[in-house]
Amino acid sequence: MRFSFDRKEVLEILSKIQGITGRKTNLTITSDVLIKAMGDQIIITANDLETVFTGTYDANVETEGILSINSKKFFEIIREYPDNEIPVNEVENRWVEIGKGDSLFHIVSSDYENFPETPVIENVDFIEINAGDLRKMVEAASVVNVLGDEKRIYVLGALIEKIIKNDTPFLRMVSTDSRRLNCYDAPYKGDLVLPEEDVIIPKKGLTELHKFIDHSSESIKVGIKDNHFIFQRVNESIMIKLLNGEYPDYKPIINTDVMTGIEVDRTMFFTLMRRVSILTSDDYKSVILNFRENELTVTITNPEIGESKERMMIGYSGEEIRSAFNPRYFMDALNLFDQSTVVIHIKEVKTPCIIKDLDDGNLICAIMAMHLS
Amino acid sequence: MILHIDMDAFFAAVEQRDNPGLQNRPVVISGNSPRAVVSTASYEARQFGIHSAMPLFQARQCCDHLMVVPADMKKYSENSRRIMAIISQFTPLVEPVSIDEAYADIAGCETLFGPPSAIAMKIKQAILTDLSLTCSIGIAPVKFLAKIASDMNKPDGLTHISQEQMPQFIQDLPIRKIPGVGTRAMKQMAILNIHTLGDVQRFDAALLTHKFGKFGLRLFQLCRGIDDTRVQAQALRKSISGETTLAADIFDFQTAKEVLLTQARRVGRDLRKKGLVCRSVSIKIKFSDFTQTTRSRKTDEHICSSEAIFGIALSLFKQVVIQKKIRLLGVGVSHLQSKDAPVQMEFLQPAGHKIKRQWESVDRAVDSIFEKFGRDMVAPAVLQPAFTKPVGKGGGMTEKTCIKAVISGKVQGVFFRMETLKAAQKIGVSGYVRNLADGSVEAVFQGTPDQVARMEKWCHKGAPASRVDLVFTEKIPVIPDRHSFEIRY
Repeated sequence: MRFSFDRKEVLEILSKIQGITGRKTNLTITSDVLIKAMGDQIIITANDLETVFTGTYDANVETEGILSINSKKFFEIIREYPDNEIPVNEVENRWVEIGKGDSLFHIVSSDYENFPETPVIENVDFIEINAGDLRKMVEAASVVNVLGDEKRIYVLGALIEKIIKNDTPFLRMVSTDSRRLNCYDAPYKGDLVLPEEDVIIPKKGLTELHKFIDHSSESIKVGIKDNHFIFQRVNESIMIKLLNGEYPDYKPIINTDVMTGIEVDRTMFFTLMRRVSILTSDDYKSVILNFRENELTVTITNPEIGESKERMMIGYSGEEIRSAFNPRYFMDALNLFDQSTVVIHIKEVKTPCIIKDLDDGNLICAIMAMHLS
Repeated sequence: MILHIDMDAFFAAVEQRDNPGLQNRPVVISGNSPRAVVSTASYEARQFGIHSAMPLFQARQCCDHLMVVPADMKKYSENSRRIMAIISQFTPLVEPVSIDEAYADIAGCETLFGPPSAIAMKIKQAILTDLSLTCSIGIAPVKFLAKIASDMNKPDGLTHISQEQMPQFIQDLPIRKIPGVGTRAMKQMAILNIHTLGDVQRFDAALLTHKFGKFGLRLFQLCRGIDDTRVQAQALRKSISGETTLAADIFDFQTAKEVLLTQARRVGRDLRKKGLVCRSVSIKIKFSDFTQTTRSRKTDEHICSSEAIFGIALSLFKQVVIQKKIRLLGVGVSHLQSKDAPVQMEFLQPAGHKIKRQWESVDRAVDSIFEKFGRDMVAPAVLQPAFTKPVGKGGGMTEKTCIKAVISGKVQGVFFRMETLKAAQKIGVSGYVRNLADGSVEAVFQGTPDQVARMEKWCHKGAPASRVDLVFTEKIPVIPDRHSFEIRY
């Protein structure tokens, strides 16, 4: 095979797929990228056995063919190559020549027959979502990160659901690590067909997906079929294999019916939390929130460093509530909101705190309290 | 002002206090093997020129009626703990340096307890009243002088170097007394014509650094009465561990498992007693060739139950490829935190949470039984000898035990060994008895725990014509094919 392509577009894509090809799997070939030259296009595929990316780009194809080459090295070569036009030529015996003239690489490639097959999923009932909404949804889910050797399915993955609010259907994504829970609803167009089982998308795949959603107002097609979550935009698609398992009933957690709502200025509350978090350390992560008549005081005592106290006026008139939380979780949650005012819902000690916006909008963040003895 | 409190011949003094037969006699605390060295010598023994670290055989040559007592570290640390507690009543700034010495900074405590020497007297009096032990105390404005002072008037001494006396004291202080000045430094000192600490004042910092390195700079400060080291109250415990050198090297998994369980329980109990929880468990394995390996793992949440610690220790142990016999096994925990520290709660408790809580309450119960009735009242069934399978062909028999006893007093030339043989045959234990060069008798008894206990009791009585002053026993490994009792010469 022999082709050449324009550096700019392909370089950007290669950079974005490094996350997929960089993941350790049981097959070494998953660190490769598959390039198929056909007609006047090249098709780039990355597959870590869970997330599969395919993108089609314009190229100047002289002879057609397929090649599997180390993704990281290929990316670095393209990045550093001095010219914009980059020729690629398979010489013989899987040896690949990249470049020409003064700058020439001779790289050994793998047998493309070993590259994992791309699942073929046809006749998907896609729905259309605004790119901005999808981006926000994925961000809200990814903030709740997965640590080390986590095994709980409901922590490893985020739930996809269809919910109806005021006769309008919404696509909902729920993500939790059992200490906090984010829930985002996005409006969509089309018919959403969901399987009977819970749809749980691995968060790792979502992180990769996030890189491909632009801020632009374009519509993105998503669908769920054959145990995969499928994402499709103009010339690129991503398929993420779903996790098998049951998602616990999260709805009671975000139910604010019996809670007291307190309006606070988002920026003020965020900066306050950032100030108290200065004194947190690995061993002392908790700050105490004390809600009193028209006043919220936040204190932290770290025996290794010292103490700090913050006070802010709030519109509250119930009984005094004293509860401990990790300020980091508040900062993460408050960062997801765009509105200048948010509503903090509280009930009593040792129960979660729930943050919403003023008009019960699309984002709900629940944060579990810390146990004080 | 800084106090340096140093117990007088601590181990020996404790033994002499607890055993009237040892009082006013030359006593050394030491192991009993041919390679043993003296760990502490009583003041009576010191008169014979016996000192710490002297090989035991040499000490015996210095004094033919020397009493050798095996060390009982548990007893000494308990005494040490009480001593530290007494000192802590006078000031919060107590820095234990070792089991028998401590620094105490009494700055600001004078208004409460009087001048430094009065405080020192009170400490000495309290230790004497509560524990019947004497100590020597040095008082000085700086730490290094306090240590030197405590050593000046031993035993039962009290030396006070006041701020005003300090310059003169430094002038006259022989240079070899300074901690850190050894044989090599002494050679240099001789060349520089330095005999006392005061002599050092003649030299500038650059020259001292050149001659003695970093220590030179310290000398430069010390000779001017400057010592920046502060008394540091005990730092927080970073880890807790327990290890045991096995009676005999082992290879089988079952025994290793039991040892790990024993250690995990010990560590767990210590952890819970201190009101802590841990987030990391480690194991240590030393092989018969003295190479060692360690493994550790961080846990998902804070734990404190022995069962949880054992579970992780065992899974760590399973990861190690054992190719050599094991000599020592240990379990440790770290990343400690108070059990009352705030814990992030979860919407959904992870699986096994209930079981974890249940094991913790089991441990609480076992711990309180331990506190009240002592060790081994309650233990996991696998660790109860009665439940373990009998070893060897004598199936159904209780496991054997073996002790070595050293009997001193008027025990030679009184048919002691003959009587021992008769008693041993009557009771049915195997082993041997022989005379030792120091006039005592050594005997080994092997049999069921009951038989051995009866034999031990007999030793205290001894032969009709003998007078038994002391019987020291220690547990030694059982020798499987020892079936008879003999007199050795």
